[in-house]
Amino acid sequence: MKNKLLIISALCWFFGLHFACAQSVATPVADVISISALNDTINENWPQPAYIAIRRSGGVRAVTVPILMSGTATRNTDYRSSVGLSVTIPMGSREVWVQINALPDALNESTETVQIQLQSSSAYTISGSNTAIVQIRDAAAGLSNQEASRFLIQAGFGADPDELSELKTLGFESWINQQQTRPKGYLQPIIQARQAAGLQTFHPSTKIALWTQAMRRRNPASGLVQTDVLRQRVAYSLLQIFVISQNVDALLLNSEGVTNYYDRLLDGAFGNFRQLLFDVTMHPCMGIYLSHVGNRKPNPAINLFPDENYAREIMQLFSIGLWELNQDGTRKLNVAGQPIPTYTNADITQFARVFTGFQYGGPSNTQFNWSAEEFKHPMKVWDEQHDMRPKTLLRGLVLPDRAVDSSAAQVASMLDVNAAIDNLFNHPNTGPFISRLLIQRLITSNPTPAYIGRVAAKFANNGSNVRGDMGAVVKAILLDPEARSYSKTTEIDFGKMREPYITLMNMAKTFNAIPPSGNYESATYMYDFYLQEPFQSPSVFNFYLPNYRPPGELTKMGLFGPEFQILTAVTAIETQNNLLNSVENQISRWGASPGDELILDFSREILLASNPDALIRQLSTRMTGGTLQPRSFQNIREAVLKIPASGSNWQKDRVKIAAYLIGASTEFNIQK
Amino acid sequence: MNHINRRQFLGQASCAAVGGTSLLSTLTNLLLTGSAAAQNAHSFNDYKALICLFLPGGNDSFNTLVSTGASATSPAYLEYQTVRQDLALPHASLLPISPLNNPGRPLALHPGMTQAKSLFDSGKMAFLANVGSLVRPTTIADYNNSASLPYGLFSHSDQQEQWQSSIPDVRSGVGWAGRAADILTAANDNSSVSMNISISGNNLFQVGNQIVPYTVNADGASQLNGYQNNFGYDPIRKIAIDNQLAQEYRNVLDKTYTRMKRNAMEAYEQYSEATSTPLPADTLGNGPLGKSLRQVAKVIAGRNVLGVKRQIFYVQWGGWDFHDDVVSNMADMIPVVSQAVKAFYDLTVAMGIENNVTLFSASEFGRSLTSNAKGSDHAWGGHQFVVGGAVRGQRVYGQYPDLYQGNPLDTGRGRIIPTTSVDELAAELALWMGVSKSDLPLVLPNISRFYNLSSTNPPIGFIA
Repeated sequence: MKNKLLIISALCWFFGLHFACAQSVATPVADVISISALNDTINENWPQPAYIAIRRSGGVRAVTVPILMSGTATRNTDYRSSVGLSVTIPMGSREVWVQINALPDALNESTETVQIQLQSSSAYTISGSNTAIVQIRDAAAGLSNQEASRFLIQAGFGADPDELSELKTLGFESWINQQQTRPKGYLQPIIQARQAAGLQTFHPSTKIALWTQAMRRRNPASGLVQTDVLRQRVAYSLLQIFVISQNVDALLLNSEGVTNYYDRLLDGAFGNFRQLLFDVTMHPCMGIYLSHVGNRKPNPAINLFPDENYAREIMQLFSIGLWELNQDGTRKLNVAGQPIPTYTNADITQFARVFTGFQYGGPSNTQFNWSAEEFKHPMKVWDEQHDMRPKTLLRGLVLPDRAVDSSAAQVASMLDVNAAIDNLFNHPNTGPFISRLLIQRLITSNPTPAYIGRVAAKFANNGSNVRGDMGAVVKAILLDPEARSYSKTTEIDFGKMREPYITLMNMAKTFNAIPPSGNYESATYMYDFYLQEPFQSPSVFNFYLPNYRPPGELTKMGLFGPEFQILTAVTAIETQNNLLNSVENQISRWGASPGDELILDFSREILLASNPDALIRQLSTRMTGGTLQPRSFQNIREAVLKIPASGSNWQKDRVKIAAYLIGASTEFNIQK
Repeated sequence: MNHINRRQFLGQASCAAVGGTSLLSTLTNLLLTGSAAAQNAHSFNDYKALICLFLPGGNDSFNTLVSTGASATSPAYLEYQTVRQDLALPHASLLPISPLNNPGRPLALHPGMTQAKSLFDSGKMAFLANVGSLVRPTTIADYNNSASLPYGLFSHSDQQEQWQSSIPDVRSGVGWAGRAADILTAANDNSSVSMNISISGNNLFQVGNQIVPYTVNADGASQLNGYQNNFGYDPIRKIAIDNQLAQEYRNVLDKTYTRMKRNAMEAYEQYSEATSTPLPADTLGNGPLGKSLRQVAKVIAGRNVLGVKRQIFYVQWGGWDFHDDVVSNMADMIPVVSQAVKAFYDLTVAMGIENNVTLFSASEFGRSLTSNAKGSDHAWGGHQFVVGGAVRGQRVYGQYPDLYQGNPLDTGRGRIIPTTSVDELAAELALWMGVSKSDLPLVLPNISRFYNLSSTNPPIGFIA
């Protein structure tokens, strides 16, 4: 039943009958025709079409409007147009679109124009200008706003105005290079500063610290805009692979340790994967979360065995995964056509013995027993509780019987740990496994094997014979043709559901929501609305699984949609309720102390309120990378125009309803 | 169709009339197709609800249903204590039970299960010993030869998937409650609210080939703000949002997102109306588990508003992956489960529906009998319970295994091969819900490996 109602509703709307039900059949009304560009700039190197809307009000009967195409650009040389001499607005429709596609050429040209002029007729009157102009930018003219905004949605937390201008100045590759050398925005100092200032440091403070750095706009010393947003976004993504969570008691209050851990992910974002895997393994927060801190050597006499938790998850989740992979991420198959497990439970028991003898580190802890909790230093591994007997790791690697080194208590045990890290780091699975997970977090849920293969090749060798260079991996992910080419965005399986939590950050970033106090205190307690919030994962399996398939089309096509795992009847509504609150009031639904309010700044959009086309064009560019479809554009424009241009707040109200409706749109929520 | 939808329907139908007769005839055809499907259906005179209480992380259930004996030196308790060492619960703390059948050894419940014990003693609760995911009946020799084993054995995500799909040898993307609902949903009126309702997030268990679960939370469904009122900008937003949700997309992620949001919007009105019926007083409290089970009871109370005869619910609570502090953590959490299950049963009694509601527990695996000096590790078979007026309670079904290390079911470290499959548990419940024996392989493709479909006996026998 439900679908049929919506079909009717859609058809009603399509035929423009929402308000016309009562009177439209009575007497024919004279048509009034107008013309406007939905997007007024197209680009040779970003072949997204331009749409010119030709609109009518008044009548419902089909009407044909002759047009004249002119301008400095030449049709079929510089551009293609979906119509030539006239357009017909069908019965019941209020709007049709002329599609203009730029045709790339090798010429170095200045910006050219396509001009469409409505011709007069006795069948209608023309309202406003009779002409719309589309500019065609040459390939050499640099990044378009749409393309640059889209990139920042993938690589950062949204189209921040300052980052956008930086990106357009530098171009993709130079921007990435610069980001990789920017000073790191560490989180731990923020927690320490809060401690010093007597502010709370339990679990909401890690969100406050993360927002402070992800939203960071100015270098306090120089006053220059100097964000390291790419590093922040990659670390945020790595936290969804190397998951720890403050939903366990031992980490709930320990924000200093948790941010110290996160700072290792910031290091690892462009560092070497081998170091990252080592840092994660040695970190006491991980030791708590996956319980290898305090792990003892076996004592078979009393049926005591090493804890297998970390041994299992470092393989299943942090490095090689469950199945043997080809370099393009597809599964290897045995002679029976079955996938091949990467390890057995016996392998887990061998690795579990490697991860024995772990205990809190730091200068004051000098033995396995009686170690005090210490979260700012890596764990130590003590020979006395380390299983020194030989171990067989993956791919036949045998670790020898170790002898306690009399000179230092941690030498022999660390030989085992380092050998195990190397064993996993050098496993052929690790490159494709990690590459796919990062592509899913940044670009698309279903990367092609070729895409995974190209990124995995960079993991294997960055071009200078270095394996595991994460800076090269991130660059390869972002600059890959599959991430950058316009044509991919039109394929039926490309893209990803924006992480619900990131939609919130996108709004704050795009609209410059900065608390006057500089304190992001109110950017917290969001989990119940989004089923997502950093450092609040329900388990080591993150908020969603990389191979989650929502029921319906994706399942039938064998495709994945990880983020759909947290799209429920509650979150589908609550994320939109939060959006409404963000637009109308502030980011937090819980309110904020004076000075801490996170309020979206629409001051630039308010200037466009009297021109809904320009308003929606700008919002669509910044919020969706210009992917809003013409029909969605029409729908939002008609909503905006229902707010009359009179009274005290109409400009802001128009902006708010447009921003809300774009934020609620499918085009916004499915990132292409 | 609830009142509001009826109004929308009428308003839109008259609106459509302006657009021409073709629209109306399209609508009529669509309506006829819908009702034709419903006629060709199961129909039931009674109502039945099944609730899966999932304990994610792997509940250490060898400490919930415990091998014991008359004294701390009895052989069955010593066997338990020897293998569990620091994880063994003190003999004096255990709650011995007296099953009506003979489970092969003396058993007791975890000290925190006083409420569960009263349910058991009153015949409304049964235990199912050593159940788990199996591809086929499996011996230690099969295990050592890696013959026909579940994929990703002992891993959380895989064993969860397998408990919920009951197909441990293939990834299907569909759960057994979903496949059961594909068959049973025809007994329900055509409703915006799915037959399968989750209180605890999206899960594989309830996804069918056709059925898409409806997922709310312990507070129920959410209403879209800025949409419902007939003043302010709400009417403007409402039209625009309805248009957005009706828009067609080509990209499958676009399609899926739009459809899921549309379904959430459509189901809200009906769900909130159905769950507004006041409930009798209960003792569920206001913790997340109690509130979730109360939400289930609200839906059951609204069954006539929804026009449903069959429903399957999913409730998940806690994280049970205690590689450390397993004893103290379970001491905190097991009483919550025990109390909530009893309170929920009592509420169904007050509602007069207890014979039509069955709750069963599930967890991806049991845990290693041996200790890692702090807790226990991932294993395989574990014990589950079933609660309800239709349950043939005060019994322990299946075979309680030997516990000593190296016993014929021990794959190492006291990871015990299950002796009853999830298929058998699921089959028993699916048959109770009204799936016919001939349809059972549609729900449980591997069932004939465990149960002779021509048998006159039930798969297990724990439910009447």
